Amino acid sequence: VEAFSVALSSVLAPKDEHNRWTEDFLEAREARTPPLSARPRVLVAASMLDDLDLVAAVENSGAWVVADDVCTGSRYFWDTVGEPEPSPVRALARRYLNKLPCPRSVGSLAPRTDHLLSLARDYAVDGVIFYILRCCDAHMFQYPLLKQRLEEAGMKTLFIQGDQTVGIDTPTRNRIEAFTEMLSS
Amino acid sequence: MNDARDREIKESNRMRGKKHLKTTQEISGIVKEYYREREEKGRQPGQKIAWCGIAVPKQPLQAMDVLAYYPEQYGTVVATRGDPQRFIQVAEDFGLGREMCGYARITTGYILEGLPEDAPLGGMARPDMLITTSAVCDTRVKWWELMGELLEVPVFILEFAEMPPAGRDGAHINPEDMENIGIQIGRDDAPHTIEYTWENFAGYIAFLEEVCGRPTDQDRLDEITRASKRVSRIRREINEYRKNIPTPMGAADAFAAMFPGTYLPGTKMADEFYTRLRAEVRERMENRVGIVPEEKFRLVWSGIPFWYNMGLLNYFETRGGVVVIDTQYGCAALTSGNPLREPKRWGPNGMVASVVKAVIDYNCDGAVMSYTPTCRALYIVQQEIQNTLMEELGVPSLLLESDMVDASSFNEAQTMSRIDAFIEVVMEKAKERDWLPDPPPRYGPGE
Repeated sequence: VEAFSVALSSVLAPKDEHNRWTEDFLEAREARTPPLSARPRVLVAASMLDDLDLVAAVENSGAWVVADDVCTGSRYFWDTVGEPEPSPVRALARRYLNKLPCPRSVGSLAPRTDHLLSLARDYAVDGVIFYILRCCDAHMFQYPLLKQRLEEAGMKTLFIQGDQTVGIDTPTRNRIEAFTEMLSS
Repeated sequence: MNDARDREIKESNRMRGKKHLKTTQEISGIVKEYYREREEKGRQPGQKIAWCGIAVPKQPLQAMDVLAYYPEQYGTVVATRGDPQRFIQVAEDFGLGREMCGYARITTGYILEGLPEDAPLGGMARPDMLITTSAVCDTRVKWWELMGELLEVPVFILEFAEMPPAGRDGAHINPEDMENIGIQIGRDDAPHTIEYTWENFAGYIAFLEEVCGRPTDQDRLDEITRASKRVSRIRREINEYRKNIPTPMGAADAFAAMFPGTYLPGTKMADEFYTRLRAEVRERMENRVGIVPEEKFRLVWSGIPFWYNMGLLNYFETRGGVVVIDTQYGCAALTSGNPLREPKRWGPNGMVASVVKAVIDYNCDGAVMSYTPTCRALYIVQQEIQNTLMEELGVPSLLLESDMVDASSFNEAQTMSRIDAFIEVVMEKAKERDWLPDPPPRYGPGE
């Protein structure tokens, strides 16, 4: 939840203010004892996830969200702009054209699959939760193959459909709890 | 045995559509022959096969001797002649949601089942390539990419420009613009769209040449293009006759009759079919033979029909009305409209204006709209069409919610009671119809 909040703030807030808040946050965070409990480690894959109740529900159920592939999460800052030569605008354009693709882009399935698999490996992920907005065809058409490939790599997956309303309902909370329980066993 | 089974399924369909004209009765045989011929040719060594989106220009495929199948069309075949749930269920188990395109679910299920030979009409032969367009339906791009992954063949996406709204002087639709199944792919008042389309069209030709391993026969392409223009002209002439009161041909026949013109436009078969159809429609018009004895009301159909339930169109006939025209597969005629009643709103790809114009051109009193949540591209516009019809013309319309091929999404009892209530409103509206300053145009023989 904390990492998602920081990422979301970087999307929404003026950059200098956001950087100041992040520094303060990190300082305070480092002073605290790190959580030691061994919990199932979950990756969340979604398009927009601007309401964090879902992430909170995962963590309240007894798992950690350790990584994400979300437009408003790590996909926003994952790739760097690089050298601002010959001009900053070109560098920004190059970054937008070559960044980790959103599934709407043609040919995005292969790089997305590779990225999800390496995230899962690097962050020792036990399970992946797909949160896909209703009628988001770009995600929906890629989901079955991504699920198949992640499961082949030994991952458990959970599919949750949303409609970008605020909060999550009890049936969804129950499904998340059952998923965490399955990952724990 | 397949024929008997085929007949049995069609007979058991409670709401099977009824066609009124003699020529359109041929369509069922033409569709069967289309699949039989493909099955036979597809087995020959070296024969290239493509699965294409409906808006892909057909002439280059014909010129290159590429055997084309159209997964959306095959979805209608499965819906009308088979059991769509057989494939839909497989696709949903795979992970495609119920809110996704029914055509895509049927085709994906069919692929996952391993292209079974006992699929309706023998199914579609394994393709060497997949081609689609970006026009109107963005779903196809992702759907085609998924098929490319499952079938491990190259995918080509032919990009068309989204049409900008027409200028403040009012929307202008050239009938020829609406020929490509009602999708505009370029407009004179927006030359950049034409340039963009041409560039992408060149890429499409290059892709075909690469997969087929030979250059295009330009003379043959020109000949096929000329032949398909002639077919389009005959179809526009037929649409002109349909403006008459009583209409000599309604949408129940036209939805079937669109097959040769949509999928085999530059062929002798299409030419001969529409020539026969034109003669029959003209004869009916001259003898004032309508679809019902006395036309009490006339309707436009907007959107994709429910293919498993084409009898819905005939239901209006039992109440004394006719669905005269549909705007989905080309409503262009030779003449257009009443200049005093040009549509004020254009809508995405001219879809709003095309329904407004159809109401006026074809002297209609209401519109029936298939409200297909699984077809986002059309669903999203229908509400605006409904509002515009009411605001600009005071014309009532009815939204019927269902998927176009997934029969399980159709609620018959609720739909029929809504239709009955709608007919009452339309009958009142029909009493004050005055769209055209002059009586509908009449065309004599030989013109």
